[in-house]
Amino acid sequence: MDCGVTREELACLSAGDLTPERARAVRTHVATCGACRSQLEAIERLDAALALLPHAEPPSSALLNVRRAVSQELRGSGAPEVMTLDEAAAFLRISLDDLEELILELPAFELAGQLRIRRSRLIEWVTARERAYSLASAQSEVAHILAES
Amino acid sequence: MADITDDELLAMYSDGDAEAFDTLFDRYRAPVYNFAHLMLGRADGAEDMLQETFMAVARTAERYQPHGHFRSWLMRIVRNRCLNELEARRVRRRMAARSGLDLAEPPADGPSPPERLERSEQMARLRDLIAALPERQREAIVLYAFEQMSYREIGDVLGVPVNTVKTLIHRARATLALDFG
Repeated sequence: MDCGVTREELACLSAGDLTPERARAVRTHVATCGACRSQLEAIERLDAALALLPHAEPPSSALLNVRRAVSQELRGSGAPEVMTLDEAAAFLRISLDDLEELILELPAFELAGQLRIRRSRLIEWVTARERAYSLASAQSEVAHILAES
Repeated sequence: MADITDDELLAMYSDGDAEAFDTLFDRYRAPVYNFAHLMLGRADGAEDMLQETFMAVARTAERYQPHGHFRSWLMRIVRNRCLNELEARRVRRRMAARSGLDLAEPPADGPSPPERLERSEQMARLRDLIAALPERQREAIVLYAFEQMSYREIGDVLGVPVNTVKTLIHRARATLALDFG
């Protein structure tokens, strides 16, 4: 539109988000501009349609799946909630030496002069690492393909 | 449990009350799933996001600091997971395009038979138009139109100031109105 009123301003007007002065000016303009009036009506139709748009519903099995996953992850592992480094290494299925090389990255804390790791924090750390690895390996493959092409 | 706040439910779950978790799930499964569905455009991805989001809730229940904004916190979790998934999809698409492999994304879900009966073509078209919006506008309009979140709450979820939220929402509405007719 080249009449000084943008579509975004019309959207603001219908949501009540213009200053009173600007709202008055835009309303006055809309009263005499067919194109803007038609745009404003389209926005109002859209808002009405948005209000009627049904929510997508998750399947009824969703709660069961979440319960099962939570139970497996948080309770079914058999590992204690607060782990020693030995237990954390066993939990991650790596050697204690390998674990100690990662110690600065791990979500460990000191307790009575010894290091401990909370299982839930360790799982979060693993998840973050998994995501970073997945993204990095995909990017590296892209770089490899680009280099070859 | 209807009169128990979200923060209280999470504290109860943290103390071992599994039913409290189910109540939270029941309160928020639809908004979380719907947000993910509209952001990702596919039901299978939305189910994964729903599961991952509530697993994150379960993981962090013990450390959660009650602040009365559970819904914003929850929507931030699903939003971040959706953005990660969209980024991973972009990378996969670039890879597929470069390697000449036919790894095209499966098409967005069409309405299921019962939905077809109950939803007009217009509604299905509106969903498609929302799915085609730029990411930031899409997430803002979904939180605004479906979850009836305030501008401030949406700002909390997206990590942007209120004025930016308004710009995103009104730009999205203007674009949708133009295409929706």
